[in-house]
Amino acid sequence: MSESKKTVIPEIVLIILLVAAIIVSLIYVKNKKVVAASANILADSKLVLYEGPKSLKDATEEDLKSTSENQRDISLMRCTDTIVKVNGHDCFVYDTNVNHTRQWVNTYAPPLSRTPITYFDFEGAAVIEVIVPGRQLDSVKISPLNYGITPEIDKENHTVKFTITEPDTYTVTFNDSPERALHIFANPIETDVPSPDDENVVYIGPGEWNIEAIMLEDGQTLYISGGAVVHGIVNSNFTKNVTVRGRGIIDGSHYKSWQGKMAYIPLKFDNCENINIRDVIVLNPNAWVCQAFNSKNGIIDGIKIISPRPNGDGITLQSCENFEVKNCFVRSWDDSLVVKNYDKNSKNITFKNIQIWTDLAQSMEIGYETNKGKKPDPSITNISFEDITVLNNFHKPVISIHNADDALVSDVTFRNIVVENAQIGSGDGEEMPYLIDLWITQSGNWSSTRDRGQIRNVTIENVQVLSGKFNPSRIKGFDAEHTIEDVVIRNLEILGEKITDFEAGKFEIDEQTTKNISIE
Amino acid sequence: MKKALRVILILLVLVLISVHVYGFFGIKDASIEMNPENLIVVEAPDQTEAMEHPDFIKEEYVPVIPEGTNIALEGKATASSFTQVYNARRAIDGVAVGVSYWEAAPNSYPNTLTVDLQRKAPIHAIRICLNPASIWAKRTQTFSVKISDDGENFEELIPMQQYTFDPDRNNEVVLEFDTVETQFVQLEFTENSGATGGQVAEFEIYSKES
Repeated sequence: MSESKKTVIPEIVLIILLVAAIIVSLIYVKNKKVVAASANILADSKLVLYEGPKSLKDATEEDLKSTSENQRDISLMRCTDTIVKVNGHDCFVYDTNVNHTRQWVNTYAPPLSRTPITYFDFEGAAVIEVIVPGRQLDSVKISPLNYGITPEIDKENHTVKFTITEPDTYTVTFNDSPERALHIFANPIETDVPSPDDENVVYIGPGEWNIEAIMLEDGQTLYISGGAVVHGIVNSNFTKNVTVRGRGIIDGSHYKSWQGKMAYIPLKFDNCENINIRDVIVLNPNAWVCQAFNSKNGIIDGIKIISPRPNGDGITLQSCENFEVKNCFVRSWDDSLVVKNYDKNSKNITFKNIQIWTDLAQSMEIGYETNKGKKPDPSITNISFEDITVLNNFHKPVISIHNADDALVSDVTFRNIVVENAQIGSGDGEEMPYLIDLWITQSGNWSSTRDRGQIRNVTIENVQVLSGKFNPSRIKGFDAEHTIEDVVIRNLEILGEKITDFEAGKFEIDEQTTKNISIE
Repeated sequence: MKKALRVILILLVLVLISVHVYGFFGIKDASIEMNPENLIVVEAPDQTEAMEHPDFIKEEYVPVIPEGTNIALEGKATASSFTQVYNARRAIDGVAVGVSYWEAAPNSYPNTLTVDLQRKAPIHAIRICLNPASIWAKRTQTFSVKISDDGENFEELIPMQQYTFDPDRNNEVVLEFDTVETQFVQLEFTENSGATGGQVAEFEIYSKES
């Protein structure tokens, strides 16, 4: 070997080493850049935290007992067993009431449990730490699952940590149990806040307030600020251009259960036009929660509902037209979203991008009352439920049309429905344990008319059940003259299985009372 | 050959140094600290218990009770119509709260609410009440007052006019007039800004003769 060759070989080795070092360095720099970029998001992130009222009592172990409202204090409290930090800052956690009972209770006083909730506004990213000192962490689930959030779990320190970048409602479920699940209302930064000096604005600032009733008049805006808790109700009758908004809470804990007599409806809008209900949180009403009756042109956007008591329907639109309900969270101890006819016909109603947790009854229901007002030519038409995530359904159908009067129910769409946990049929829900239930019936409880109605043109597509039970479904008219016709079910997937025929989907279809029912 | 390799070597060393310099100085270190200017904490007021909101505290109002006795309590009430369970009897049961009220069938004006006093009696005032709770928001109702001896032929006592019912003023309307003798007293409604028919929680008719 010549002298020059001896020198060239080590130099080639050196070049190879240098190239390798450059590659390694580039990978390091790239990774550093990614980490730094996310850190920069946090550095540039904005966060608004709201102190809770200082008058709220700390929830004790005694307060967390599952028992009836007659046996313990059911008031809204400060949560003491769940700590939440956002970007390293403490976030106030409330302790409100929920209901894990899976059957109707005739005394109107079912056992109530408690669960923590918190809220804040942010832009950019939010690193959320949840600390549950007394709890063993075997598993943690962050819903909606479509975000694909895998939390860091520190079992030793009982801490869960994850990052969000999209404003939404996030639910942290511990150990696959609905008990003490944490609901996080992560709002966008609030804009265009109304002025307290505006004469058309009813302004409720932070703090805990007793207000018998806020009755809104034409053109008024009610603003319930973040950090406010209002014990009272908000109603409006025969008005136009009314708005309710703000990050605050309307709480009904001080009312006794309605016992079928005196319902204090926190958000009630009857015979109104152009109503706009946004963002507010409603907790523990003594009956149902958000009602519009004989009203038209409404937007319900971003409200959050947790209702644990009997007849605690979430959003109930009764004889309304031209309503858009979107971006809401509804956890309810009766129907979560419901459309019915108590007087005029219902039409043009859209529910979109909503999270539901149904502790009792149905998740998305049309009926049972379709003509309680006994009007001529009754109908419910052009109703759609789209982009709905059902975190849990513990009782009755997820998708249902129950026509118990003589109306024509037609042009109904259920599209892009994800059921994260199907536990339909629990408790006395076993009487109708259906995932999908289209049914024309006569009901001793709910029918007002002698004649029966029809169901036409129903589309159910892109429905996924991710976990839980494989429930059956039912399509059943009343008789040969009162039928269900033109139903298309498309792209149904249950527990990972694509359902392309009725048998595989456990459908019960009554051939005598149905026509043109198809599955693709 | 040897020279070319040396040039390549020097270039590679320079590239390596550049990458490290950029990585060290060009990229900020990761940190989970927020910019404190981007944090807002909305503070809660000092309080030890829930407070009455100052904008909703009602001024004290003393209900106006006419002189004499409410003899409608001993009468019988009928109406041109009623909705759901809100029949005429509920308007003379002495209870103005809760669900004890009369409401006419929706959109069926004119609506009448008539009290048969069971005997001819001298009367000098009537008091029409709605539930005084705030949830019975301020509204107007337009009605006239008529009287009759036989329950069939009515004459006008007070002409049709609009009255305001305001929960801040006990949701009551008191009408006083020169004493007249009559057995039947009728309200005829043509408008209600808060419902689709006439509403009365209590229809009180006052006589100085008990």
